[in-house]
Amino acid sequence: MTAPALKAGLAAVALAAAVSACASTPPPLAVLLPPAGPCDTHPVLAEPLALEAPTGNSARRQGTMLDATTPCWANPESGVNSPYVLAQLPETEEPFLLTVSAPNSVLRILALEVRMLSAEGDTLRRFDRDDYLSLGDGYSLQIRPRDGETLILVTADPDLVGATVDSIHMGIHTTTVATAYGASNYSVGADTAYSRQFSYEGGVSFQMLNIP
Amino acid sequence: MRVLFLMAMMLATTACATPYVAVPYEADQHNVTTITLVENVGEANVMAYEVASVGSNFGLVGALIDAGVQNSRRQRVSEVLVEAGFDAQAYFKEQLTEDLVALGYDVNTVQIEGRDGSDLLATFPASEDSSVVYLDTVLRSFGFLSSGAGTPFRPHASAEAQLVSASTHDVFMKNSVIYGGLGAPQGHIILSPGAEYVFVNRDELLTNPDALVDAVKAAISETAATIARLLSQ
Repeated sequence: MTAPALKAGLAAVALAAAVSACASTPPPLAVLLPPAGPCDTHPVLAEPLALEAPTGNSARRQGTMLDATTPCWANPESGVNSPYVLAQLPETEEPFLLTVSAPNSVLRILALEVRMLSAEGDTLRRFDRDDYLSLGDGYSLQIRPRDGETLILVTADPDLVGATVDSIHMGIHTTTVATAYGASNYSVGADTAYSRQFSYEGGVSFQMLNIP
Repeated sequence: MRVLFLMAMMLATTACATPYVAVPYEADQHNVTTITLVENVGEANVMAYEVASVGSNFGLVGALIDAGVQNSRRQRVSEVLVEAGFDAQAYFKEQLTEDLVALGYDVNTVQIEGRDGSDLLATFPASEDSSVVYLDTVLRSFGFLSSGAGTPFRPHASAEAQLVSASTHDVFMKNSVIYGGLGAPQGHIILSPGAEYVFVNRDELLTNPDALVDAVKAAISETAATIARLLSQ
């Protein structure tokens, strides 16, 4: 092998190594177009995500994704398709707080829309946009389930999709370093600006907590 | 107290912390037209705290030096607010009252003793009037936070509120709001600090008293507006 060919080969290997070392999956972008369909004309009630009852003071959390693989619903009111997830509330006598959240991703948030349904799939309760809040690390809705409310329908609100939320996150990162005298923690502050867009797709989480 | 509050906030941001358990207000379940606001909203002092400061990373000596630096900064910010005649608690109540009136509520006030620090009231006077509901609020903290050395100071406020029936003592609403806080504690309503209120260091914080007061006002008024919004009819 000639010297130039060897150099070129080494350069290619080095480049490949560098690329593979630094390569990471980019954060997902907001999905601004509804599913093409065909979509269900009514949410399919069979096999909802079964939520488990909270115990004691511990929060019970379960999550899923609304994405291209999720069933979609042809919402007759908006005339716009949306992916959807149906979850079933646990059967429990204890009053509990249900928080449905669209966790913040780097660039997007699910345009969360929640309805409470009966076991037969009838809509019993909807929520004003003002009821949705920035709670913890997500865009959320707090609900005290009422008698007869059995299922939770989560979809994306087409009127919200595309809207941008700018925010600043303040936090600290702590690193443990080894010293001659043992381990030591060193903390630094982080101050990060985010600009996220509401999306047809994204994560959704259900958290249940007993009300003391 | 401020350090304890920050430690609690940092603990709450960790994954294993128990989330805050709120009681969402359900306007269609309660016929509330008049709100009786509890006068005493706590007595929190201003804070101007750099969380992951250089000194705090260097053992006991560093921590002692850091305490002096932090206290000096807080003292100066407090002096600026006093010179401006700013009363955070009065401003919080004024904003909350305006926001509730704007929502259509009649608002009056009541003196109830028994506030323990910045906690919500545990007991209320008995009343047979089922139309009376108390809005018990505490301004738990306000001022400025920097997440650490080299990061800017941003305005901060946090408050907690509960709406309680005077006759049954049922809690119709309970929630916690944090503006410009550290991390994202689960269950608390998080308000991002406005990007326009940023102070790169202590000097910038103290050289423009008007901007400092405006920033604190923004944090407190946004916090009060969010509490009022929870009671939308």
